[in-house]
Amino acid sequence: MLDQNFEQVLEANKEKIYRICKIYAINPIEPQDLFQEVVFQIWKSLSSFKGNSTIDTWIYRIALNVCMRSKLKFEKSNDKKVRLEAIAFKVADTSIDESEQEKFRFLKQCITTLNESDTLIIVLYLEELSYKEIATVTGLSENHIAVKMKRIRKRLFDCINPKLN
Amino acid sequence: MEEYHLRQIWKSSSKNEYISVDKNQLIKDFKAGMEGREHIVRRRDRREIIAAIVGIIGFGYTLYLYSNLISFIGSILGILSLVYIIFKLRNHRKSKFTKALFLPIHDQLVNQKQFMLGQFKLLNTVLYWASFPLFFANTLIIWGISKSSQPLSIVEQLVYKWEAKLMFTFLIAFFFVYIGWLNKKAAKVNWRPLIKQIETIINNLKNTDN
Repeated sequence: MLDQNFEQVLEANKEKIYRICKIYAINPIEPQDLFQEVVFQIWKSLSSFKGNSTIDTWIYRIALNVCMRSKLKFEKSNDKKVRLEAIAFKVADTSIDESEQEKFRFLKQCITTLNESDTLIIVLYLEELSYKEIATVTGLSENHIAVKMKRIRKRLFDCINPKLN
Repeated sequence: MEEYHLRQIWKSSSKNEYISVDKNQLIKDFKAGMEGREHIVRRRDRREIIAAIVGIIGFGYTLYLYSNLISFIGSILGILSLVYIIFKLRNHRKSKFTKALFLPIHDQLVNQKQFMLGQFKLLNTVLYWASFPLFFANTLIIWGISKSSQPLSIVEQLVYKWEAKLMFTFLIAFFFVYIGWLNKKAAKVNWRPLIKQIETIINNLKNTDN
């Protein structure tokens, strides 16, 4: 049996993990592959969760560390990839709003124009984390995040507004 | 566009797919994943140990075969060098530096950078900690061999003349310099760009001006 805590953690966080993976997955890596790796790493690390931060913060750290590591081509060999057959991705039953999908494509395009550090901050911001929480995830100070956010937000809006209007 | 809309677009991106998890199968997959990774580590460990044992047996054999002091020192140096190489490689294992994925992003990046710098330095200095000791060990063994035993073994026949010793010394030197050069090239091609990339991310994170 799976640990009860892990089940709950996974159920509560799977969507946010997947959103992050969608941003960091670059061909040939699929978001699903990244998602599986993040889930595997969360399971491996669960015993080291001491409760010093919230579980959300802790999950974001693992997800972003795994995604950034993958982007840095840190894991070079494919044989180290974990395959979790238990996780399946099915097209949602509800009809997919194509305009929403297009908007997301624009958003992704704009996010990918940002540098690595700005990307991870904006991702956390879009996940509705407070500056304090972003600071906890990144290891930077709250003030530092606030200053950076001002500039990143402007850059993101400058990019996306012409696309959506 | 307002921030609220942007966040809506962001949140809706995970609604297109439904993620289902078979909880009973997942634990089996996790175990298989762990075993798979452990198997890779075990295979690598086995390869290193077999290579070291073969090398140690080789030097042990020359130790037994040639009783003169110079060859004796060469053989001992060879055995010690191989033990040191294994120790050095095991000391630079990746998991030691990068397994704490729950650390803040900045701290984890610094850890990864440290690991990468370690790997870069390790490859870049192979000439000094692996090639040179093994070169000296082999050279000492060759120069120590003399026409002392009858009948002469194949190795003795090959290298008992000083011209032959000199030629073999150059060949061995060339071989180990080539090994050193290959590793230096690998450090430059594989690790330097990654170190630069990770340094840029760390600097961008700390910098508020860019």
